[in-house]
Amino acid sequence: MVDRKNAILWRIRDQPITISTDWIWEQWSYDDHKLMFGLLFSLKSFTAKMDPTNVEKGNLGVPQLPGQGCSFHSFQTNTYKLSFMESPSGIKIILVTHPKTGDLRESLKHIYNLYVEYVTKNPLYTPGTPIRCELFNTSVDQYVRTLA
Amino acid sequence: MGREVSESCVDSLVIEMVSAYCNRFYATKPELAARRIEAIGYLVGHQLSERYTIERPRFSDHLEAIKFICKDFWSELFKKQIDNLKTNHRGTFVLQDNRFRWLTHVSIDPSPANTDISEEPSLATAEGKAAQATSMHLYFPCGIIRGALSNLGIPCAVSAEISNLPACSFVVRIKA
Repeated sequence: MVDRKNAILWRIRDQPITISTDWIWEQWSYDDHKLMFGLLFSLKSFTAKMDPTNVEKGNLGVPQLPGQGCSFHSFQTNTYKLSFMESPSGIKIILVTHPKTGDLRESLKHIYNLYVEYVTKNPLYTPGTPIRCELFNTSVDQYVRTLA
Repeated sequence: MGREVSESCVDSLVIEMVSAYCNRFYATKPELAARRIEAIGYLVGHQLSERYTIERPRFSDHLEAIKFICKDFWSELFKKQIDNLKTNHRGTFVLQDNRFRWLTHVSIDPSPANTDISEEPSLATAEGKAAQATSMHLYFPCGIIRGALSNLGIPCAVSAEISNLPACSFVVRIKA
């Protein structure tokens, strides 16, 4: 999860092995993080620019407000599928899954709901800092296991 | 009783009030911040008890009043009743709530926040700080209980303890 100022708030990655899913905490390097942000930013503005239904388009590279114009939600390779959701407040949620996974937009919305419940409403959390809330971790963990 | 307000609004307001008093107004004096928050709760409890006892007869004794707090008052405020009430029959009551509504979203950092090697392992102090911050949020409900009881004619002192989140207990000591 990445916030508006592109600070990585929380990371978890799942790799399905046969039928069960295995969650692995992975230490992404800072370069991976920059690459990912750059990719998503470019994809967002590119998809908005190429939208044939939208009359008013910003120029390529001009940052758009979250939610404005069309927004891409996933891309897929032969080994994985990446689903993406951005909230109006600029919180970006990224989920990397098995390529055969269906549309995960509802799941991303549910995870965003969990974020609102257990992180934003947590009095001990200061916005903008990395998320270290146990309730959030356990609830997302449980939810994702039900998805598998 | 008429109008409604969103629960998220009330929750956020209470959280912000506690953090404003703890971190901005009385940042260096947590006891004063606690007393201020409790005083605010006192006034709120005073007025709330006025509302919620509007059609009831007077309470015959202290136990009846405490039971009112545990059942009707608590369910008006938090949509549930107190789970456990203990008394020593000499003016001390312990009200235990196994899932206190305002603590359900609170969770503590599971791992040590700073990896600074020069400092001593601060796991214990980090947890201690988090516990202290959480306990600050309990002064408001303590004040509410104290205000409600004093409006019913029972002067008392209320303190709170957290056993494990989200369960907590309030100890009411009636002044003789």
